[in-house]
Amino acid sequence: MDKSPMEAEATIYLLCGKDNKVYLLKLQKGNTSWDISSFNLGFEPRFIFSARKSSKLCSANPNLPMSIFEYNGSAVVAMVGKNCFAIASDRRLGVQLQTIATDFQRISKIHDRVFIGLSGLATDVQTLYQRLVFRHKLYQLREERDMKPETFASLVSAILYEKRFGPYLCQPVIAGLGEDDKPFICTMDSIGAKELAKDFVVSGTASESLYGACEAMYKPDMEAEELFETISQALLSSVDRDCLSGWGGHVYVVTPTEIKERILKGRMD
Amino acid sequence: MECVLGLVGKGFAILLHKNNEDKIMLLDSHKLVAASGEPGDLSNLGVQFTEYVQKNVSLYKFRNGIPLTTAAAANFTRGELATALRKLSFASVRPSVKNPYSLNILMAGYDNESGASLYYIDYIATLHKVDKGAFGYGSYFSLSTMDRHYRSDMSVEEAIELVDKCILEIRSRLVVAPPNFVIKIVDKDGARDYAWRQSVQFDLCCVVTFAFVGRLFLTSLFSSKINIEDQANDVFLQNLTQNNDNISKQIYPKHKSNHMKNTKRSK
Repeated sequence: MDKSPMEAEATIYLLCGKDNKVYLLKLQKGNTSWDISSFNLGFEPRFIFSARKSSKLCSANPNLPMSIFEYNGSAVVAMVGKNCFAIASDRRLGVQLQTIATDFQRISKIHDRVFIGLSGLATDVQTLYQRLVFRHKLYQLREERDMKPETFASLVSAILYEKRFGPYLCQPVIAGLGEDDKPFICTMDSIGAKELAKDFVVSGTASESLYGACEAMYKPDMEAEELFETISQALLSSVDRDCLSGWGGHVYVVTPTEIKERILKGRMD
Repeated sequence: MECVLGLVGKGFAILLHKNNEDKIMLLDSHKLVAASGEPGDLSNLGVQFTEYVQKNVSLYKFRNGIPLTTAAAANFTRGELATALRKLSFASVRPSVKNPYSLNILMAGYDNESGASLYYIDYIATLHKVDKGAFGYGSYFSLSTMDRHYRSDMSVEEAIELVDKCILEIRSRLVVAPPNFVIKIVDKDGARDYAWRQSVQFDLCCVVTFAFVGRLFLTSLFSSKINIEDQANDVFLQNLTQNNDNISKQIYPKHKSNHMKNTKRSK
């Protein structure tokens, strides 16, 4: 803890294979030349998977400085259907590369028609959730009705921007049914920049895979059952490619008449 | 190095702390809390913070006439840690210095309504209710052992067997393994010392706490100042110290690597 978790280790690794050997090339901060190590494989290497970002893998150091957003690991996605929406998250709670629990709740209900899924640092997920529930309950007492999802999204954005220079390190995904049962989804970054979308929103460590999977699988105007299938497949296939999230999934499918909560069992790792 | 372990069994929870000082504190009659943290940072801080929580738990009981539930106490502790995490310390010379506690906490308790429970609280105030948990370097070994052997309805004897397996694992695999362990248990009859696992008697303190929830008992390891009550320890102890001796006497051949060749190539 003597080093700030925000400092990335400035080393670039390249992994390549040829002629019965696997080569690891390393360019360290401050050096102008590559260090090459090679390992004699004994056979022609066929597939090589390498880390996408230099700060994530390629090191056995248990105190590898990851981004603080990747400290606990998370994946949240929300999709819009026909008069319904679905919001899903993974269930892993970890501390860097160690898994602590496999039943962590990332999606919370604000009221029957608005759900918020929070990805990022777990402590801020819990703190932010408590603050938002408090604000919503106060709103309910004063206005004697539930908050609309658009209003709630603005509230979250304002609360996050309040902490502009010491932010809550989480990215919320908000999903709700607005007037006339029109579904509403939005996501924002950790300082409250809203991104409204008409089809799906993603956040978390697996967000890049999620973008790809959702884009491929999404169709407009899906019914509740089909939406559940789509979002589940997108979530499970994306978290399979991310070591920091996974251990199943938690899916809420919300229609004007009912809320269905389902637990998914995927690759439990 | 400190390790804290805990697990939940059938109506009880165990917390195990390796230490020569008793770092597992009674919050009230049916709650136990074990705190561990960065070495050098812990001894005063941990005691201060857990005492603070203990006094507030008692205050609630005096004011309201009923004791706090384990969940409530855990959430209170989490709230204190979360507040301190981003609080600016105005008392210091530089007003922008933050003052977070670097304490990892395992809290075990028994409630009549909800039975035994174990809460995992990180040093950055991540709260989660778990069946088995561990902190410190010992966690890398004991979590796997517990994953393999733990069941949700273990009896006290089975749980102690599992605890002993974890201790054995820590002692044989961890270079900086703490020599002494204290086991404390909490069940419907309250929180109490259960047993010791001592291999060395001296006044240094190292804490290993692991807890699992069964009938809620907390194990903690104590210093040599306290007499060992459980005589069964002696045989167990001999075996363990025996194992330790054997391992330290083994001489591992120096590893010569012919495969990795480091070459520097300038651009």
